Amino acid sequence: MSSHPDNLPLIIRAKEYLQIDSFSVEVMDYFGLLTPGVHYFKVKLLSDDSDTISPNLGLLRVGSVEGSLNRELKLRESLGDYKIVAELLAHKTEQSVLINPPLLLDDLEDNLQEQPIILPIAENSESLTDNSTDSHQEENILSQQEQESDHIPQQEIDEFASSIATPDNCLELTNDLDTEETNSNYLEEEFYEEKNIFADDCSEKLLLLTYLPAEEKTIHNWLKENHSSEEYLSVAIQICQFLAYLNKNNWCFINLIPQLIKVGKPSIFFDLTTAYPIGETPTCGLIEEYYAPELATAHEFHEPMASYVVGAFLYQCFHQKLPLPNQELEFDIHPIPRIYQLLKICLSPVPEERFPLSQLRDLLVETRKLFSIKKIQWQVASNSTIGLSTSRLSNEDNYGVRQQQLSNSASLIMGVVADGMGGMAQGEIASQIAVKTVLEEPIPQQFSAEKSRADWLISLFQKANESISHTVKDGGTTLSLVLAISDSLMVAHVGDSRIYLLRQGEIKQISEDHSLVAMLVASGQITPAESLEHPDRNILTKSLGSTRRLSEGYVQDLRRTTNQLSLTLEDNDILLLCSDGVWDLVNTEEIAEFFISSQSLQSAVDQTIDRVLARGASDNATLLALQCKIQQGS
Amino acid sequence: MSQQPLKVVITPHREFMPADTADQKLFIMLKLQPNQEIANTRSSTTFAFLIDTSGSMYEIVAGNPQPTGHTYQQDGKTYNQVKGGMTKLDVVMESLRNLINSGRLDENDRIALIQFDDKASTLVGLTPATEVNSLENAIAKLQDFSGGTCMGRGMTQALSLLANQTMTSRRALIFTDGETFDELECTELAQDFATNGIPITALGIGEYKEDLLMNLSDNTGGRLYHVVAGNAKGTQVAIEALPDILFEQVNQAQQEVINNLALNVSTVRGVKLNRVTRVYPDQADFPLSEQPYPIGVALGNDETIFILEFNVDSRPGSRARIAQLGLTYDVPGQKQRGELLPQNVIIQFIAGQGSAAQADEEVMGYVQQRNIAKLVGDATKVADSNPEQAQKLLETARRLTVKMGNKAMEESLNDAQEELRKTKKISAGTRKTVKMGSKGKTVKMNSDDINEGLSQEQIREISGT
Repeated sequence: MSSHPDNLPLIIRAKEYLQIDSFSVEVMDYFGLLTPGVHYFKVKLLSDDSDTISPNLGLLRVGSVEGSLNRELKLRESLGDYKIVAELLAHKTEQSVLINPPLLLDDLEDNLQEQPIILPIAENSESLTDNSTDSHQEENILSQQEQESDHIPQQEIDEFASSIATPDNCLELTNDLDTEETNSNYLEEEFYEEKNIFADDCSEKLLLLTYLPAEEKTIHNWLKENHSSEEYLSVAIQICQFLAYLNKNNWCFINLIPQLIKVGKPSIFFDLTTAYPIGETPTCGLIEEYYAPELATAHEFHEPMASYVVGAFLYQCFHQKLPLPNQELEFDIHPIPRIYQLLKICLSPVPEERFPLSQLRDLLVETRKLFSIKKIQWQVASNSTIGLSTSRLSNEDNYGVRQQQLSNSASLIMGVVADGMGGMAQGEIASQIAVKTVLEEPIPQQFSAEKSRADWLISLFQKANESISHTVKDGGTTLSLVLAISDSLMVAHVGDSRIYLLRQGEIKQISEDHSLVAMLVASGQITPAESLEHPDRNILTKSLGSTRRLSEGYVQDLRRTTNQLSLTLEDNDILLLCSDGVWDLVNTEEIAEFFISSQSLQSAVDQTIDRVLARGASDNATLLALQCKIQQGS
Repeated sequence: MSQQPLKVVITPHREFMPADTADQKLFIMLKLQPNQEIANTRSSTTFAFLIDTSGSMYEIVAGNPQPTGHTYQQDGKTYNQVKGGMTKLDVVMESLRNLINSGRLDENDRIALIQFDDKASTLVGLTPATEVNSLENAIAKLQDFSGGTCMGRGMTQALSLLANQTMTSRRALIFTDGETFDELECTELAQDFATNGIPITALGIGEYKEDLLMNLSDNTGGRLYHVVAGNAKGTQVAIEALPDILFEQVNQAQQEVINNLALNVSTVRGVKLNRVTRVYPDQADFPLSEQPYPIGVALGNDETIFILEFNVDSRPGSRARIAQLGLTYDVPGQKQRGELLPQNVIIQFIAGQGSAAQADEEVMGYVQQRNIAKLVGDATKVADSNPEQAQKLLETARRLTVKMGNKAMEESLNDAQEELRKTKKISAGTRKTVKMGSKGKTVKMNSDDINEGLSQEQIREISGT
């Protein structure tokens, strides 16, 4: 078992070799006391097993037999094999252990003095009867120093004189620097022999060996980098989940040691010494980075302390610092909706106000979901003109936009352009009915599936078609519609109005022209250039109001132009809907140029219409432009 | 070795602090208790009563007034003449008469009486309480005055009477019901009272300015009472109870067996004293304008506890002295001065997170009570502009107060919250009550008795050195 004789103490310090069960380890570094009473060492695992060459780093923790490590063993036992706790490689009890020996002998002497500093009153009774009120600061300091040096035993001074400055040394320094001291008004620095923080006069120790997480994968390192709100929340959720699980088993986790938690899926906890049985009372007040404030007054361990830990961690994520370094009751929280409320409640100085862990976890999950939603804002610009034709004194074009918040996470925008046709104002009525019908139709409850949205759009067109057929004797209309639910775009289109998508300077027509000339071009009978001057270019092959019932495939969707029923919008995408009065006179590239070079959406629209007018505007011309701004999270 | 008059225990909230960490706070608890012999002495007292004799003091606040049908004009206001009622001034005069006729004072207790309105005059200089006749005559003169309010003039006279009196418990008791015209002068005078170790006890009724009175009592380590006509709730005091307050003040002054406490603090570079607050038996913040800092008195029959708040810059790992605390004080019962020679405050700074977690829960308990007072102060500040925020702050303060078990303050906070809920603001009266309540009596934290603390000898014995 042990590699050293039983009668000699086991020495643990850098460069020592130890045997812990089947593991040979070389001690590399001392991390200090990361948890009260537990010494942490970085070790190299030199496996006994010659088959495997293990370059792994290990974490060796050494503490008293009945202390925090023993508590961790009990907790591990009750948790069983829990995947987010790092495996315990080995543990053992050693009868006699010396930790970092050079300091040890003196520490033992000091153990007896583990009291709050009690400074009894000065013994100089003369000062009492001395009624002079002028007590000079310098004199006091000197007399005090004499006193100090009096009660430091000579033996100790001898031992430490070489390495540590003692009051004895300082006294000389003070004399040398006397003038400086009076000038600066500061006390001279004086150093004392360091005390052993945790009195543990028993040399019997418990040793625990686990792997050590790679430094670059620890939460400690992870927190130094910037992450998205979603990522911060994901880690907080994992911590909360773990703490909630411990809480269910009646254990309360009161502090995080970020160096000993590995970030990942899942994150892994290497140290459980900060977990305590719920209902127990700490032996003294505790103040530490993630500790709930009531621990300072030694409040018994309870669930709100763990909620505070999660809150403090979340605070740290969003502020790059911890909330209450100095026990104040207030602290600044960045005004981030939802995060603000969560932090305010989790970090409340009143423990009862904090969320229970299970509720907190659900809230964090919900918050992460909200943060993952893209926030879309739409800008809308439009212009419509009757044009300059002496035979057209009314505008048969109609258009409209509908915007609606469907839920916290989904928004809807619908834009339509309709170009009516027919004598005696029939065209105007037809386009009006089409626009009104599609804009006013209620949104169905079940609307999340792509297919149901597509079906709904077809039904809108059917309804508009029926309505026009009933109302208008001799007329019809084109109808072009875009529908964006959050960042998912769909179109529905009949006729020769057009829908363009302008993305990163590239313009693309995503509707088809349901016209005679388009058919002729498609069949190669005329060239696209010829189509622009073709005398029959006003003849439509499809329109609403021309047939009783729209057959399957009559309404065009995105599959015809993009192969997909919907496409995902990107930040700054512009959707343009226009009647043929626009594109007949201003070609696609020109339109794109206006929108690429213009300062605002509206001015691009206006410039395009101005160009239409400048070129004679032989038809009504309508242009509707929608631009989206997409933001990740809130 | 003769026994020291004052036992002193100095406890930092943490003996171990993280090294290499900027902007840390260190709270040091200074606990004082006079030894048994001193505690059994009784201090002579020297009281200056400053009575506001401005027109508003003639307002009827007690008794059963009956209108006579006549009206009269005073200070531009019309008053209905009544008989059978008691004015504020009547109550004060009666309280003073009660006091000097109570038999609780003897020739070691001296009283001066000063009136102030537009002017101020000393109606009787420091006179032994046994000379009842001359004191009664002076009290009777109080109703010969009327006018505006210049409190500073009264304070100047009180200071000149009290400043050169030594080895006695001095007190200036100010009774006022209005705003004074010379606020700035009063604040400056309070500084002189503090330097001379004279606490000011302020008794405010009606439309007085609580910030000024709080400033006077805080800066001098005195006490503030919110006196109300009618039912007193929580930390309020009914005007009928005024005689009791006076007795209480005299009693307390007699028990102030240690006074003129002055604190000397020196620190190493990078450590700065921020704030000195008395946290038990009640709260007061002392100004840190000039060393030595006057920090009031210590009672004979109880502990007196202070919290010293320091800012500590980042320091490397070491066990080091970071400050020295020294005290001087008077022991009036024995007519001598005492001194605590500068004591080193030694803190160990430790590298590595988690290692320095231990904190003294008693010290932290007082720090928390101190913080509650600040919450209440903040709440009253924002009450008008943001009642919702004020409501939340008060709720936090209330819940923390409940945990502390401070009943009187809890009741005050309840009233303030209810008022805020109903009216969306805090009235001047409630604001006074709740602010003063938060400055009033604190709750004693559980601790080991000061007498069980180890003596230097015991420590040496144990450590075998």
